[in-house]
Amino acid sequence: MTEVAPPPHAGGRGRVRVERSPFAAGVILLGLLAIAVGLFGRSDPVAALGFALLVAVVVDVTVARRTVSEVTLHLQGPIVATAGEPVDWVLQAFGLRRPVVVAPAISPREPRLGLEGTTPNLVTLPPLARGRVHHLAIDLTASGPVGLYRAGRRELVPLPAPLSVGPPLIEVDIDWPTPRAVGFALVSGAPRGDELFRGVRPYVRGDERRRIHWPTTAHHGTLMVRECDGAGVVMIQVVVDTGLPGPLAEHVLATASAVCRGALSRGWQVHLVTLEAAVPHPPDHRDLGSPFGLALEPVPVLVAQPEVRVRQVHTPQDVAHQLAAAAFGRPGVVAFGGTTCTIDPGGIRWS
Amino acid sequence: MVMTDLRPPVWTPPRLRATEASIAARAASFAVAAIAIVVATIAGGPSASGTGLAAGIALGAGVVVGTVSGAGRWFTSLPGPAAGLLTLIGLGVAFGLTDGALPSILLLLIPLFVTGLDWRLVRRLQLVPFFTGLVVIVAAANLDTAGWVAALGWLVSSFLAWWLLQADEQAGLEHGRPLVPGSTADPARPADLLRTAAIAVGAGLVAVLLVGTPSCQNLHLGGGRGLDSPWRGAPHEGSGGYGGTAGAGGGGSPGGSSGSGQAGGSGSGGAGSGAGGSGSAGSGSAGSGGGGSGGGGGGGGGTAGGSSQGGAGGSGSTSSSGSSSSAAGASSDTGSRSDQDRWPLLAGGIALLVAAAALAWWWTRGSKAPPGPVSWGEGLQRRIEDLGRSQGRPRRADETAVQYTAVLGTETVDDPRLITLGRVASDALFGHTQPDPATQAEADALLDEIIEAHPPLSRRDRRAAGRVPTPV
Repeated sequence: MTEVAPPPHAGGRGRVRVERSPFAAGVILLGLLAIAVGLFGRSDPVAALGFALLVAVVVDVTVARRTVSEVTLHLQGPIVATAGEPVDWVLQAFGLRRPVVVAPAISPREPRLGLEGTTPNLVTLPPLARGRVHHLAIDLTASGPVGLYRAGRRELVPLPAPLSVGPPLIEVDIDWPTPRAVGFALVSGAPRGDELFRGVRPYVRGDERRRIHWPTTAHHGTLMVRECDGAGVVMIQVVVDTGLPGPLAEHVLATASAVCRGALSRGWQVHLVTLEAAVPHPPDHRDLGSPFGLALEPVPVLVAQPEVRVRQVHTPQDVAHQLAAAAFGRPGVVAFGGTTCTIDPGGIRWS
Repeated sequence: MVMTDLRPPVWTPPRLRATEASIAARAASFAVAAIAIVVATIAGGPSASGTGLAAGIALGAGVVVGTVSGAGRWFTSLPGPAAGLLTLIGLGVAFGLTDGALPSILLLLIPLFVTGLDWRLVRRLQLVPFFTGLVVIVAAANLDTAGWVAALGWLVSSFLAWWLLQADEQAGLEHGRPLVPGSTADPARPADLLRTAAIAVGAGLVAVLLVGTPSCQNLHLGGGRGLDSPWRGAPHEGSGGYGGTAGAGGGGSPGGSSGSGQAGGSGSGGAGSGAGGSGSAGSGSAGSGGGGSGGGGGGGGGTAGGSSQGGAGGSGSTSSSGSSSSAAGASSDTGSRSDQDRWPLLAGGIALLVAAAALAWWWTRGSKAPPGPVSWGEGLQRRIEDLGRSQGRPRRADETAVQYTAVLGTETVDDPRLITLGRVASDALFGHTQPDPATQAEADALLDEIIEAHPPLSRRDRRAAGRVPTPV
């Protein structure tokens, strides 16, 4: 599980950094050369040219720095996302006076998006790893008027609501058991039973003789059987034992997600059991790094003393929300009256 | 159970592509190169006009052909200038093999044409001002008034080219899909270019005014020194006494010989006269120098200048090469006087520079950007910090919100409810969920009550409170 560290205070702004463009060094050199030629050769036009070039460099740096230092980014996106899939965000820049470029501060730093106005834009940013994300690290850069220098700042943009990045969606061939009902109610996907009459169909080899519907058989002149549904409530408990951290653990969580979604589609009540712990605030990040340097790596969160979390999930979003924050390890045994499904690196076991 | 493999990520980063320059940017870059060619042609004299014209046409033809035919696509890994250099080498070999049967001007024109074919990519065109600038510097150094025009023209056109290329690079980026139709803005802002060019040109002129050699300097300092010299009998002698100086001033020949003693004593006139090759160049430095022995050099320079008047001055200074030490002392005195005379000029220049810097600051500052919206937690935290500041205890950089309110609540304001408010603010800022509206309203009301109960301290009290060490 990874989680982008919250900033020490709201905003999470990094220091403004400056980077020279490839041709700026040549311009500075040209300016110094012109000054030297102008002063020693007593040519005022050339000296003025050199001074003007150097002043242009200073103005370029100043304007670029000022541009990025005044911009505030706001991001709005979904509250649940899937690991490995890109996410659409609404990005809006406040305090924008000149064009800026934003890019995710992760590797690869694509896409580089140009922002020229303060109106909201819909942007697609790269996928995130599983976890709960409170801030999104964005690199904000701007060039000076003539592009000699670029100024940049790394910013942890706080999200209005934490984004739960659930495990990836995978196809799992599940051998569903015939669970027993723990109560009675009219739900779809209920176990077999005779409570509700659904209809009749022609007899096929293997049908029970007691299901033959004699009135329609007499009417059609061929054997017909009746079909009925039960009206019981099925409740299962999905226990997720991820084992050691690693790709297999992520696969286990993805499988658990598939099981939960399948059970919910059958109308079953699902209780999801995972390990989870309140994530402690990481140490302050005084220096978020440079937008022109290394990408910001997600901070691995070491969860101490995780607790067992048992929660009834009603929707796939609930499943993703809980599995997004699931810690690695094996939850303890929780007493449960219905069917229990244990998912671990060895596979799926029903009991 | 069959566990399938994880699906591969559907995210595919867009490919990085080099940005192509717009037609306007290509034209501006060509204008930069054309100006450099023109400047070099003017500096080369009338004999170079034909070559310069041909070079400009060759480069322009390459640019047009490359733009129209799309030949620039051939130069993906090999830049156009490198290709032009290789062409030059090949032509040189061919020229040698044919014993000069080929016209030598082809050695210049064909490489320029090949260079012009690759007039396409932003990254490469940004280097055009750099290479052409080398030509302009060398050529403009040999020009007088035309040098100003050349330097200014090249500088402005370079700024224009860079600005257009920068706008092209910005426009070539991927953009978000605007939620409000028709809300895209133009990345090219002429005001940026105008500000930068105006500030750079203005500052360059001011800097040259300060450290350069304005034309009025020689006349002013020379005349003043000569007229005011206390050990000179007459202005006539003084003016002639500058040796090479007087030669320059044009009036020194008769007195050059008579006033040669002091003039020669002024020393370093030799350097000036040698540089200028005439009396005028010698004028400025003649009076500002030191020892009498240097006067000989000044005289010699004046003589070398070929001016008869300078020669007269030179002879005078030569004759006084062994002048007494009083001459040297007098020379330093005149130097300090000249420094005094320069103070108004220096002060004016510094004032101009400061004014230019202030103008630059004001211009780049522009209008105040509108602040972004503030979350409830951030607003609460700011109000708490305002309260602490008004009580003489601003928040330190290494304090968390909870630590800060703990200090405020127990020591500064002495209201433990602030500690609770700090926790609420911290949860709102960093927690997984926001406090519900009822909690927010309650916290706001509580903070209002605390603020009302603690009016801001006076400046003196705040200073006194700030001196009290606060344990962390």
